[in-house]
Amino acid sequence: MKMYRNDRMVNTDAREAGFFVPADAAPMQVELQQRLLAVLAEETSRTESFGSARPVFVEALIWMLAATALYVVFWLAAAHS
Amino acid sequence: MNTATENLPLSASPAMDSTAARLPTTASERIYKSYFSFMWSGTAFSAATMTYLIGGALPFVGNTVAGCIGYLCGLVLAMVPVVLAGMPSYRYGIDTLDAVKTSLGVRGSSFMLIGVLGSSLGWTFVLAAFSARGFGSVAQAVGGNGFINEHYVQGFGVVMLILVWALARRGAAGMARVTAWVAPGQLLSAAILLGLLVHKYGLHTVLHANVPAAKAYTQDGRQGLAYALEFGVANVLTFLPFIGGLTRLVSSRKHVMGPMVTGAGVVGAGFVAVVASFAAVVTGTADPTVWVIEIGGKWFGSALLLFMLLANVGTMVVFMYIGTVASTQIRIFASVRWSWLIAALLMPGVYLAFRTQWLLERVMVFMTYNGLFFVGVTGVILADYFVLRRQRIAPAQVFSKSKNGDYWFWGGVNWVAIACSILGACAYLWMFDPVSLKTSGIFRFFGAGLPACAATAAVYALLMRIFVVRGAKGGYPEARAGKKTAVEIGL
Repeated sequence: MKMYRNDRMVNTDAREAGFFVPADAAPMQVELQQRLLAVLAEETSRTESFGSARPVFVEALIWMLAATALYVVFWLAAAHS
Repeated sequence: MNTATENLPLSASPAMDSTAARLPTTASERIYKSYFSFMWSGTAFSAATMTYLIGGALPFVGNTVAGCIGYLCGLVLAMVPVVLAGMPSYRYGIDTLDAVKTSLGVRGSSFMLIGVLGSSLGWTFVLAAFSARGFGSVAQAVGGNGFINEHYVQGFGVVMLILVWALARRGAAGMARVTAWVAPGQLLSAAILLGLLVHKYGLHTVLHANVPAAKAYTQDGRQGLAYALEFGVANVLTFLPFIGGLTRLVSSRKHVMGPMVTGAGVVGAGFVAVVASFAAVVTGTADPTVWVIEIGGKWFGSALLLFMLLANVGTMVVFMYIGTVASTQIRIFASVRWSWLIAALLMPGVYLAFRTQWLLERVMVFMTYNGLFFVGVTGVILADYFVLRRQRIAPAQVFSKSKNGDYWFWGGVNWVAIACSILGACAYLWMFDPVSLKTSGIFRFFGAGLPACAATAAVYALLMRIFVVRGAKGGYPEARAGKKTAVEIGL
């Protein structure tokens, strides 16, 4: 069973990040606070997974160009038939 | 693994309350760690029997092959922006409904909630009804009766819903496991049907068969291609409410775009629809419960159809998982145990299992129009996240209902986003009525969904830049710097 904490350290970190949960918050709310801090830390660390979205854009562009080209070819063929 | 992966939101602890499902997922908890694991979920999501019905409509654009090409292009061209709209969820591990609060407002996301619940529950019940009626056809074919036994239909419908409940209560990990089994089977079924089709009718006949010109929607080849493109676009835009619920479970950016475009688009919705379109045009019926048995024969065809109907459970589980997570935005639902909440949401389906014919006749029209709202919302989400926010949001702020929160806007609603979303839907309807198939404007060039989405994004970005972005509302990068107070958060 995971133990939920609402300790002073976590609260301080959260307030510095611009949010807080009340001192008497339910365990799930405390868990939310801890997770948000973890998510922010992951984003700050800019790991391979969560870094720039450029590879996603490149892949998106390739798919879009391929589909558009195919559509335009068939549209033009239909126009001339 | 710990917490969420062991507990309810991502795995199985059905006794746990449902608030955990909305907790942001951290990197170590994400279950889609490979290209194929995410691709199979996308495939199972879109390769349901409904896709066979859509495929059956493609020959009516006038030319079957052109219909298939246009449909595939529409799938890809719409899937890319829809997946991009899921990027905030991927990056911050939050559900779609939490992610859209950054653009629609913390209360404005209720508009999306209605759409998500309508889509997820509506399609689950439609699929259950369709599967049940299909089972009736199988029983009729095998038993040799001249009529469909309604008791079989009702019984199968209820069994499907119980199966969905049993699998969906296992959470995201259960969903991933089911789809990893079901999706390859769905593709194999489609491949077998294509093989039987070619064997029975010959490749030349299959590739050159068209519906009689009098039965086609149009005699204009360009208009027909645009119809097919639009069928693909409209199909994919309904994925919007679900995409964030899936991308938040992906571990690497390398596995976000490709697997979804391939799995849900080209392979799942595309290949299956292509097979269905060829089958429909050579057999003369668009109803897969009829042509599968006709192509496969009484026994093998019935067995194949039975598997395809049962495989719909995989799609329904994905719908139910995401719909149930979304429903936890409603406070009264959030405190209910996960397994009970799924059961409660499935309850109307049990009633509808006894009225399947009515459901398929009436609800399909509602579901068609329900998807319209997502045309504009997609444009708003893309413009807001990529153009105005430059891919950075404050994830904690989406869990705050404070008036001092970044995403409070006006009374919790970004009315500019809501107005633009509605305008987007209206623009779509002006160009294309999905029920009557009436078209106008630039439809014959590039359909209606993509232009409406792009126009909505442009108008939204412009209005927000002029009236909102530089002000104190919305938490945009250019906002006037002021003293920020910490806000209370909660699920």
